[in-house]
Amino acid sequence: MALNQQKLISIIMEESRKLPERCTGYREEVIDTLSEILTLERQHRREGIYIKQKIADKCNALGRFLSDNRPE
Amino acid sequence: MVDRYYNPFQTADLRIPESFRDDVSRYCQGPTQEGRKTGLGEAPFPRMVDMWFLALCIGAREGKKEDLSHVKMHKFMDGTVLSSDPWRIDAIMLLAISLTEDPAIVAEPGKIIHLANEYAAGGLPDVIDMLKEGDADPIYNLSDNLEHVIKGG
Amino acid sequence: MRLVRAQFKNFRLLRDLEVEFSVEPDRRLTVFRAENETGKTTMLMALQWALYGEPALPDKGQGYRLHPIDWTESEGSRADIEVEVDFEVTRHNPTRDGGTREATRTYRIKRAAREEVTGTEWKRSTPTVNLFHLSETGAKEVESPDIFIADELPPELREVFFTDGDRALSFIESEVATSTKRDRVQRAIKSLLGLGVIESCEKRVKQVSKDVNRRVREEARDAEIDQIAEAIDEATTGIEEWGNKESEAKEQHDSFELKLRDIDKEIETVLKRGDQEELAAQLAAADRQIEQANGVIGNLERRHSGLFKSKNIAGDLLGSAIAAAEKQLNDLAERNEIPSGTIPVLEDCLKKGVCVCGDSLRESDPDSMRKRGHIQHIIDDTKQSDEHKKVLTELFFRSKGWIAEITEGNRSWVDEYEEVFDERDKAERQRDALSKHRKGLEIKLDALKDSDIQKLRETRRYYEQQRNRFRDDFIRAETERRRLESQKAADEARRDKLLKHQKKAQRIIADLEVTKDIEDVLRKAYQRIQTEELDKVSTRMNELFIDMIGADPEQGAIIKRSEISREFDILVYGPGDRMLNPDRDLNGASRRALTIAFILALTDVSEVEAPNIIDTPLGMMSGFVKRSVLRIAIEQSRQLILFLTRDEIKGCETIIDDRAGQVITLTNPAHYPRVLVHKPPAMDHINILRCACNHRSECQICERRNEDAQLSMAVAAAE
Repeated sequence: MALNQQKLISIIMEESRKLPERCTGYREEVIDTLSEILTLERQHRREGIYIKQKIADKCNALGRFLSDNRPE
Repeated sequence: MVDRYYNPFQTADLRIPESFRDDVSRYCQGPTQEGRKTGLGEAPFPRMVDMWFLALCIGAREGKKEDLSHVKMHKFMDGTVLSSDPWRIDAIMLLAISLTEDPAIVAEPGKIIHLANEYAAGGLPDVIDMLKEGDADPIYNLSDNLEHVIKGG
Repeated sequence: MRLVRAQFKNFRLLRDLEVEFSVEPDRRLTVFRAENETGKTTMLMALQWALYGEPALPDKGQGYRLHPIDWTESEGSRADIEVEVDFEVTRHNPTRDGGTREATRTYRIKRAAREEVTGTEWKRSTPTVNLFHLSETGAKEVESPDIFIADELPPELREVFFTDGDRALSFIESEVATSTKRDRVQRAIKSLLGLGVIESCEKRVKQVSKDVNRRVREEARDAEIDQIAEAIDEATTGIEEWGNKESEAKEQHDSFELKLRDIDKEIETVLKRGDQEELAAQLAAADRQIEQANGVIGNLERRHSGLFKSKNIAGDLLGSAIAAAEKQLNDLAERNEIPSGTIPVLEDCLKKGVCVCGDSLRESDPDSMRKRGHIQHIIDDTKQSDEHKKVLTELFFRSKGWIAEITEGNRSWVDEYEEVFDERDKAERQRDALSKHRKGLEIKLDALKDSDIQKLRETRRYYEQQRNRFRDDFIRAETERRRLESQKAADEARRDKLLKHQKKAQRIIADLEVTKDIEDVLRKAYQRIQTEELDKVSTRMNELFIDMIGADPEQGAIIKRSEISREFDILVYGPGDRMLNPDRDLNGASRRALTIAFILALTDVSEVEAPNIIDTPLGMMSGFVKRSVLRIAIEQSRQLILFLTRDEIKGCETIIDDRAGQVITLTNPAHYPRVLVHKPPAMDHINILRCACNHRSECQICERRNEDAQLSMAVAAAE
């Protein structure tokens, strides 16, 4: 839904910035992942895509990023 | 000593002129011709003897005596009814003594009652007028008019 | 989204019409100058039908004719109805540097239906809808047009974006049940602020988190971790279940709370008119009192009637006659004629056989017998006359008391009558007062015939029971959910601690942290939007509203502020923060202004790009307020499309000069000759015409007679 995407994103960005920086660039990756999740949700409402796996994939990708970049 | 229940008028007939019979019925309690009971406001006299007696008082006060020899009369009751108010027996006797100036009349109850019937017949038109004259219920009309009479009007 | 163009074919009054909307950023206003019966409401409905289909029609389209009412056989038995709307959508895609990038696309939606017309009967086939993306390369069809539109303009917001000025008040009218109003406001806010999307995302990420926890059990290969993960799994499921129960119970609790509030209002109204039960009891009491009063009056009447047969009346009327009789009796007494003493002496003589003179009176000789006879005769004569003397004597003694009463002027009949009269008068007045009071009760009771306070109270008791039941359910569910959350958090901490020791578990830990972080962000974003954004909508609505009506000297003094409560009620306050009733304390202009302020505030805070299409928004408004509302609406709206009558335009011409990018005049030729000055071109059917005239000009098509001329024509036509 384009209705308030910008608004939603700005709030999500603000809340994401309050997260711990678990590794370098973590917060930005969270913002990207959430944006993509929101987009997927809208697509799902519009096109009925199979969203469950896609969201899981996004989360997994972020998890991998964290795992690979977390300081020892 | 006269027995306290002594009523010399027991066998006498209390009468009113036939022409007043409807009026008297109308203003006395008891079922109307239609079988309904009228309220005291409309028919203030519990019994016909009460109206007859008031008429007698008015007739005697006003000196109105009706000659009944050629008048068609209606006997509404016999004199036994006077026992329920014994003082009326005395009043009628005193009245008879006063009107005839002859105390011996007490020995002639028949004559006394005849006299009473004459004066009652004389007073009835006035009583009926008093009941009708005025804008209120007959009970109030009669009361106001009696007050006027008593006060000397 | 912004509307660009619309084309109407055979949609009721709009047989063949095309219009354009202004999309200029600096001239966002489009004005349709149109009087009553010139297609304003029809166009509003047609646009909504094009975008939303049958649900946008009255009764969801059931029995609602779309083809023109003057469709004739000569046009065929099939009426093809079509509405086409071109619109722009601008996306703001995020960029790496935290900014956004705009991308505007143009689309065309075309909805068509066919109605088979036979005489006055008709039947509509299922409408078809197509959506195209228009670009330089041509038109490309877009799948699922209804879903696409629902995304851009959610159906639950239809009333926010398409506003019929007269029916716009459903957000604040007090006649509408509180729960319905609240629901409408909540749905509008929730949808426009994207809360629905966040809720869905949070649910999906929770599911991912659950799946990760399952992976922990598979990959960790540690009995203790496995056990904890299982517990977490169960707790997650339990949290979801108890969370759902909690939401349902809260919803039901709130619903019954509102029902209680509404029914309390109803009971209060009914009680103010009177409680039927209590009134019936009062009526019965009044009846008893009247019966008692009648009893008293009855007794007094009998006393009154008794006056005519009383001794007093006889005494008062016969006073002089009785006095005369008394005198005669007194004379007899003075002469010793009463009472008589002769008889006992003579009887004694006979008994003894000796006369008073000493002569014998024995029965033995004739002379004595003759004397006895004579004495007996005297005795008999005396007895006879003594009989009436006895009566007179008795009368003399008996009447003394009564005569004394008469002569000494003791309580007279007149006194007695006056006493009875006064008592009767008092009693009858009291009885009249009671009767009047009873009549009043009867009237009140009659008014209550249809309202059963007893039933209302029973219903209230039921609502209260249900509310309490759901409150208990809610508390139970909330307690359980919190317990499970707390337990889950503790288990997660234990699990994560144990996993940290396992080198191979690093990946899982990362996945767990990631899903938790995403969930946290989504939950906090939801809460923020629900509270902070709602507060922003409330504040903004108040600013706009006060700005709009501030110019109104009458309402500006009464209305001090407005707000949207946490429970999604739109409230208005007067001096001293006293809550005002929108129906009673606000005039029509203020109510419209408040609704428009709410809609504009919502779109402002949500930063939504959507048009505001309003039919007759300025009705009932005078100069100052009208201009304020128009000015503010233009400033706040991304695209403002207004249907205005000439009366509404009056006083706002300069604003329209400055801010309108498009002004179109619509005319109904059927209004000739009564309203229109010039005869329209010959037409077979009624068709709404447009001309190039703006709000200041008139032409052969649209020139109208003034009101006086219209009235004269109407009178002439009637004659």
